[in-house]
Amino acid sequence: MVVRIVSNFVIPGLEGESLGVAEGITLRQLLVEISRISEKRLEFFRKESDVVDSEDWEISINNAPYYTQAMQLETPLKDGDLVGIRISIIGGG
Amino acid sequence: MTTKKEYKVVGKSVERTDARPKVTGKARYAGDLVAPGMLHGKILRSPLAHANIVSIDTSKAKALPGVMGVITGRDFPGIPFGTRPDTRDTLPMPITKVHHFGEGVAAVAAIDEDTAEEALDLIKVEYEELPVVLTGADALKPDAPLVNEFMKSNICYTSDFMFGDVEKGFAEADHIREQAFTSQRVTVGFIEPHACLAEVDNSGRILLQGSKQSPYITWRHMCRALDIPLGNMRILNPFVGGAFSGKHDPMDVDFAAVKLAEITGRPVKIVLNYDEVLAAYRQRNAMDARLRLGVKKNGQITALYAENILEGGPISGIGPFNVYYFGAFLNIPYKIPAIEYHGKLVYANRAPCGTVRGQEVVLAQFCLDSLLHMVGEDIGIDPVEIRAINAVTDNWHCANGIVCDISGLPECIERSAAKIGWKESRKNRPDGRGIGFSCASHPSGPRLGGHFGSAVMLKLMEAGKVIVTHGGTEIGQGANTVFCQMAAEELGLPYEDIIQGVSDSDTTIFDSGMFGDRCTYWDGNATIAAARDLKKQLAEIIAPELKARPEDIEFADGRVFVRDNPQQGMDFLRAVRRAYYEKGAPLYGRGYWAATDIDIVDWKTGKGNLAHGLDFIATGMELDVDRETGKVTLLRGVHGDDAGQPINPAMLEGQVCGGSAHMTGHCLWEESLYDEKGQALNYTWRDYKQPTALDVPEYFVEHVHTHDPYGPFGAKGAGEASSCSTLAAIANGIYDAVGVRITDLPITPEKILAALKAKEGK
Repeated sequence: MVVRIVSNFVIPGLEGESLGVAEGITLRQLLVEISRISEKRLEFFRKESDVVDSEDWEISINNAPYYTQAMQLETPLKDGDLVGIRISIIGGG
Repeated sequence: MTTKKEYKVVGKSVERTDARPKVTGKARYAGDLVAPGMLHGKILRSPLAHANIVSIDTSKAKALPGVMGVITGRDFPGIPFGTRPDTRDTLPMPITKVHHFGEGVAAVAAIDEDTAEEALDLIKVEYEELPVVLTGADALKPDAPLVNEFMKSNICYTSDFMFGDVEKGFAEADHIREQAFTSQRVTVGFIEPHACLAEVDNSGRILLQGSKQSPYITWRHMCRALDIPLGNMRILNPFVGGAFSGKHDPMDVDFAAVKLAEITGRPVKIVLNYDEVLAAYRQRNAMDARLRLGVKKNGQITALYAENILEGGPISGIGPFNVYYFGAFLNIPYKIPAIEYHGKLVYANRAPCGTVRGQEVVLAQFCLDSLLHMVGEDIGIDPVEIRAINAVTDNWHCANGIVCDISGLPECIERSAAKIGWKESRKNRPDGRGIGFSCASHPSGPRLGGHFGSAVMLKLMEAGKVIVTHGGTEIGQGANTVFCQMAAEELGLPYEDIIQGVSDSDTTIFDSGMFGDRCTYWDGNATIAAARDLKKQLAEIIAPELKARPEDIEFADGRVFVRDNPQQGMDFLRAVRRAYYEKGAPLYGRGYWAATDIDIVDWKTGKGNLAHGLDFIATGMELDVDRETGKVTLLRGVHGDDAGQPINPAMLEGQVCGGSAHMTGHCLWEESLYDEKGQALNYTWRDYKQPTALDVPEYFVEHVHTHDPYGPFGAKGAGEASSCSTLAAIANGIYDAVGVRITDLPITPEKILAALKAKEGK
């Protein structure tokens, strides 16, 4: 199946704006996969932590923040779902 | 936003809040701080620009009497930090290899500075030297050595933007010109070197007092790299002796002081020498750019193509912003219907870059405004005229989506040209005399995402005076003064009754940082909101006594009264005491502001309405060029400046003139030099020259007074636009004077002479 990805930055290693993934993949597994294809430039979970680092990332499923989903990171994704991965930054110039 | 027209405090050149302590030497900077039992720290620096660290033996240093602690990179958790989660590539101190000359590899805390220095000599570091990458072109070679161990390429960051129909724009052009431009490494140029005092209390909580531009940026980065919760660190800013974008990030000096304080259990202060700063700390990116500009016969720009490689040293720092800013803000100050941009930030083994005042809009504008002058000459349009033709006007929608609410740029151009005597100079001028023009614009703080609001708190004291605390940082630009002015204006109090509080993360509301001309605008609006909140609270307490509704209570001239019956009122002080004595009410006004109606930066496309408060400037620079020596003498600099409503005109002029003076050295002579092995060559003030009062022209500022609809009292940010306009104004002036066009900075006498000889066929 294909998951659509929307982001406010160029995700390293991601060709286009969608990703072919295995059926039933969870949001957590998708983030791990994106981290892998980015060659670890993107790390969504803080060291020894099980939650998305909210200082760095805003993650959504079909425009709803992931933490509003009942199963949160374990939410299974469906074909055509839109996953938002938005970067937060610290500071400016 | 306010509709008030007649101001009592705003718009007046009141004395700065920090003027007297600074001029009398009473201001306490980080280097002045002392603490009981304090140790002194020193940092051992790499003599090589790129090398593996084979081993570090600190045993002899540790054994030296008076040495209380020695650390290396291995004493830190090994967690990289960085401005963006996708470019975290920086360690507190290196572990496996050094990346640039002068990088700190170990640090010592001792009972005095001499002992610490002596201990540095006893640390033995074994290096395995590696080939170096020095330039952007070197970095991109297929066989280039990798500079940063956290990245798999020397390309750190890219921006590729397409705004409008570029192909169509160039097809419609009557004339197209392309030109390459380069710019050199320059240092930032603040007066106070990096310094800090770190302490750790019995619970392990850290207190850092340092010379920081954006203390909460430092705080976030440090807690990440130290692997501690944000609540375990308190950061307190003393006076700061300038920053200009060179003090956002934590430096090894900050990390070393903290770690040494942790292991020794005593306060540790580290104050760098300026040689260290010039050799190994933040500089401006080197640039290799190429621009192509298309225009109609009437001078209207139809399209722009720009590509740009920024070499930023071995870490990303705030470099991604630099690449982004260069491209996104090509959309201002001229009406350009279509822009294509490709920018790269690459790693190299020179000192790490941050940026310098004006960010890389400075470099973009040097390229664009030089090229605009060249194109104008090609098609026979006067330099002033071609700028007026293309100048952004009110309600202009840029190709990438930026909406310019208010533009005084056309008037800025007109007034700067008139003041400098452009028309008259075309009739008669001495040999070697020229005038150059350039325009620029700088936003009042884009909305970058993450923590981006500003907040202010006003504490009303029983004495009737008000203490302002905010998360912005006074780094010499006058932020504290303008917030006090704004609070006084809104509260109807004398300026003298507003007191600036300390910047302390335990008591001050956090801020996203002091950069991008955002402070006056964002924190200023928050100041007004806080004052209104305070008035509302006081009005609710006083209204029953005045037999009025709270919303009918007015504050002005140190009094509180009923709007339609001013006699029915009381002194402000009496109202405050009523509140405290009869109610025991704590009177704290809280205000916050963020431009939530503009777009969060889209790093991928560069599109969106990125900022309010576009500050405009048109700079005219009159100069002489000595044909025998190539020496350039700047005579007069005129800045037509639209910063909206000036809050403090004298300080605004200082910002405008200072921003321009700052870039004078960049344009004409400053350069951080390196040898073929990446060793810095000119890292003392004897060898590296920055402009002094003797080098800058007489400046004139023509205030073009507009009213920004979103700015506090109609103000816009200020201080960076004149940096952005100065390089091209000087370059264009040199061309006007002697007919040679130098596109690789700095424009030294040697380059001018060589160009003159080439022109004359010698």
